[in-house]
Order: sequence, then C-alpha cells, then structure tokens
Amino acid sequence: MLSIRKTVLTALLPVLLPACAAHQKEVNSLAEQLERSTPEAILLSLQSIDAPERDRAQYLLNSGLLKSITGDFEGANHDLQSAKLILNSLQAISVSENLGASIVNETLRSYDGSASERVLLHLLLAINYLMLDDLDAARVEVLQADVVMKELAQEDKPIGQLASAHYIAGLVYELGGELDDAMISYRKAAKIMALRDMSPPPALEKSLLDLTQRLGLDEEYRKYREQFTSAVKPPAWNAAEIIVIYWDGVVTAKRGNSTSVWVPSLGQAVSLALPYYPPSNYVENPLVLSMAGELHRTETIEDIEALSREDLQDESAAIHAMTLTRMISKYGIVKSAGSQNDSLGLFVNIFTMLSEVADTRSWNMLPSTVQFARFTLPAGKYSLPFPHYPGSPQAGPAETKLTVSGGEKIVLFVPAVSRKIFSYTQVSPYKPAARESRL
Amino acid sequence: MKIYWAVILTSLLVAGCGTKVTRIDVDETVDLSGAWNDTDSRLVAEEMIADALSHPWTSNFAGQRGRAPAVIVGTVRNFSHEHINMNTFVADMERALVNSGRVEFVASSDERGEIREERTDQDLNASEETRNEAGQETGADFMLKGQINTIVDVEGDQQVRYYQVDLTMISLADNRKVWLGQKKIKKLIENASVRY
Repeated sequence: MLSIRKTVLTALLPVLLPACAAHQKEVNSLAEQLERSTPEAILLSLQSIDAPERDRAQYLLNSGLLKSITGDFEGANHDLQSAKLILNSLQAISVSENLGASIVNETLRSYDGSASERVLLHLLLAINYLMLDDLDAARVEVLQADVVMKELAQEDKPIGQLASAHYIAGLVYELGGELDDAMISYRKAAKIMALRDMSPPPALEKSLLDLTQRLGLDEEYRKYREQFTSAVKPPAWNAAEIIVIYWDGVVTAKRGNSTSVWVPSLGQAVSLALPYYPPSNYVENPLVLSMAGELHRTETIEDIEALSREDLQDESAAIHAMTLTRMISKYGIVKSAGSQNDSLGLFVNIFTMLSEVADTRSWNMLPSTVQFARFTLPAGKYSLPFPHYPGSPQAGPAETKLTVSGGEKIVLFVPAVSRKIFSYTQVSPYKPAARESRL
Repeated sequence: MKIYWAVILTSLLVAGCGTKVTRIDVDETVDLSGAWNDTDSRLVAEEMIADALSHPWTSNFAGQRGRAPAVIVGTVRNFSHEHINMNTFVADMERALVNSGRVEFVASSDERGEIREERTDQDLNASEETRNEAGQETGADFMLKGQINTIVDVEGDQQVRYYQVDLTMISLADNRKVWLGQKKIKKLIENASVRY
C-alpha cells in the first residue's frame, strides 16, 4: 500500500502544488506588469480578481497606490484609510488564524503587512493629502507614522524605521513653519540612513544645512558643512524652492519555494513551502530635470527592495518555526488517518501536500526606490518632461508646464510608472495655491 | 445526535456572522477605538464655551457698546495625531455660543460667499419688499481661534493619548486676547494582544 501511495503522490506533486497559489500569483503578475502597462489598466484587472476577505488589506493597499499614482487622491485615501483600519485591527495575535497556519498554511492568516509597509502606508497618505492641499491632514499622517515607527523600534536593528518617512515628516513640518520639528525629523532620516550604511542624498544634506543655518545651530551647521558635499545658499527673493518626490520602478514580488519529498521512514510525503525574494532586476533610474540651465537629479533615500528583504529576514525565524510546527501537525494528521484507513491516509496526505503553500503576499506595487531632489528655481515658466520609462506604452503629452513665483515652495510627486507629475504649491505658510492652476 | 449538534453549531456560527444595529442616545458615551469621538467633541465644545461665557469679556463689551458682542469662528487647526472632523467640533461650539444668548454669531468666511451670492440673486429676482440689501452685514467683534494638539506615548499594547484643546477669543478691533481657554483629555488605551 505504501508503494501505491508513493507512486500516486509523486505523480500528483507537480500538478497539485502550484494550483493553490493561483490567486496570489495573479496579483503578483499584475504588479510585474505595472512597468509595461498603465496603472489604470492594472487597477481594473486588480478589481476583477476575487480575493478572499483575509487579503482585503493587500487589495486596498494596492488599489490605493494605483489610485494615487493616477491622481485620484480622494479615492486613494479612502482605500488606504480602510487598509489602515484593517492593519491596526490585526496587530493582536489571532488564535484561530495561528491554528490555521499551524495546520494548513500561512495564507490562512489575514494579511497584516510588513513593518515597512505599515510605515509606507502613512507616507503615501501624507503625500496624497499634500497633493490635495491639506497640509494639516498630511501632518496627522506623519505623526501617525512616527507612532508606528516607535512601536516597531528594536534596539539592535532598524526594522520598520524609514528615512523617507522622516524626510516627508520634516518637509511637512517645514511647510507648516514648524522648523524645530522639521530639524528633528531630518536628523532622524540621516541617522537611519547611516544605520543602513547609505549616504544621505543631496536633498537631505541641503535640508539639514538650510535648517541648521536658519535655526542658528552653528556648531551642527559646521559639522554638516565638513561632512556633506552639498552647498546651500538662501534662495533669492524671486526664486522658488522645488522638492521632488520620485518613485522609481516596482518592487520585486515575493515568490514561494516548495519542496515535496517522499520520506520512506515516515511512510508519507512531506511538503515544505517558504517565501523568498528572488534577486532584484531593478536598475536605478533617477529623474533628471534640466531647468534654468542646470541639471537636477533625484537620488535614493529609501531602497524598498532592500527593506522588503530586511522585513522578510526579520520574520524568517517565526516563519520557519511555524513551518516546522505545521510539518509535525500534518505528519500526525496523515498518520492518524492512515492508521484508520489506507485510502483515507492517502487522501489526507494529498491534502496536506496540496495545502502547503508559501505566503507570498506583500504590498507588491510599491516602487523599488523612493528618491528626492531639492533645488531652487528662479520665477518663470518651465516645461517638465514626463519621466522616460522604458517599455511603458503610455502615450500623452511629452511635457507639462510649471509656473513658478518667488518665495513659493513646490512639492512635485512623480511616480515613474504612471508618467504623471502632481504638485503642491505653497505661496506662503498655510496659504497653498490651487494645484490645477500651477500645472 | 451528531446531526443535532451540527445544526446547533451551524446556527451559532451563522448568528455570529450577522450585522447587529442598536440605536443609542446621542449623548451616550461609546468609546470603541480610543480615538477622538463625538462625545469628546461635544463635551469639550460645551465646557470651553461655558468657560468663555463665564468670563467678563462679554459683559465688558455689552457695558461699553450697549449690545451683545458678535463672534465669528476662525480657524481651529488640527495638530493632533488623528484625522478629527473639525466641522463637527466647530458646529458644536457655534451651537453652544448661540444657544447661550450672550453673544451674537456671524457667518464664517466660507458661509458668507454663498449668502452674498444669494443676496446678489435677490437683487435681480426678488420683489422690492422681500429684497435684502447689500452692505447691511453685521461685522464680528471677536474671532474664536484654536487648535487641538496631542501627545501619544506608546509601550507595547498600551497607549496614552493626551489631548489639549486651546481656544482664544481675539478682539478684532485691537487684536487683544480677551479669553484663553484650555481643556485637556487623557485616555489610556489598552489594545487586545490576542483576538479570536
């Protein structure tokens, strides 16, 4: 009987195992198509997928992101706020989901996001509120991001600590005239980048130099002058300050590694499935703006490819422990079924193999990197080229117009995959000009 | 017997899945997430306006001018950690102020636009007897401004949220601050560490 079971199971293995992860594969495939398709088309496809309720947060995160990069900021915030509520409610450990994960597989848990994703959610909401000219609401999001980062903080590693979130926080405080708080946030961004062995981009260097100078922190200013290559000079009266938030690429989706072997000593087939990130094919592609006779390049402040892997690595001990628990549970179940009836044992063994699926869920439509640039621009009218994106089928105008007046602070949000440019303009503190009139 | 238990279990599961709606009194306090809610908004507005009206600025003004002061609500900014619906908070304050009968209230800058539009329309379309003329608006004597701030302290599953609401009544004639009000709320939120 054992040899029949071995033959049947060996024949079924390659056919049965991949079938279970079909829904998630579809979502991951959409994420991979994002660079070659349009976000509008991907959103329609995403909406047509019948995802289980436990993956609702993942769906909302992706739909919210797609709406953001197409300019539907209201719709995006609705989805992202709903996702936030779900993620917050899932932070408690679920007895039933843990039981399911220890017997069937990890995908029976509700999707609760990785550490970085929980912070990036606030970052995207803050950007969206800025683009809706709602500085106070953006401020709420950066405060909430700070609380989440404090919750996630670990002594020995920077899990869930995002330089980009602190940089956006600094920017929001600066736009609101809260320079002390802005300074603290910029310092935190620089500290996190140092912990990850990354050099601060010129945008962060300029922000630190500018604020230390304006706040009269002479000693700190001198330290930064020695440390940084960027130079900063007060903007001329007729110049505006431009801050570019550039999202480049699409982060690699998780994959599952499944192994099934017939174990003669146990008399049953044992399966193992673990999530992993394949090597990234991402090539950094900064946004280069040629304006007023100068070239301005964005530089990376957040490598989301690296963050995703860092988060998975941090979760790996728990994933491995649960996989081992599941193997023991499944062995016991198959053995118990086989002792009653050989056919039942065979059937249960097929089920335990079939159900062993790696949890490959993630916020897989995030960019590969978050980049920033910060520079001054004399008052005038400028043409902004749409970011060139290899393979993108989008047709449309080759450039967009930007009118700049002296004393303004203009934040540009440029998601490369949507080839769109959005902006927030602050004429003077608390008096933002209408976005539509600027572009 | 087995079928009997299966039916009971299924019934219980189905019953547990249904949506239940219970109508409750609007004044009843229900704290679900620990976030700023309708009770906080109403109580803070009522207490602060009661405090504002208990101070002598209204009687001083009435004594000097022989009428109740006209107040306008300016910006009340949300500097908290939460997306607070400032419209309900401002509406609660307006209601408490108007119902006191101690002050008059004038429309905010947002509301004035619509009213002026209507008045312009009346100029063209309303009869002479019912028409309201332009240039007859009551100017505000004081502006109420304020902000909501929070401090959040987190440790494990526990969170302490401290709310501080600061309101200021400013004389439009000379920028004097005639009343400074402050209301503090502190909440300890203990999130469940285990769920079903």
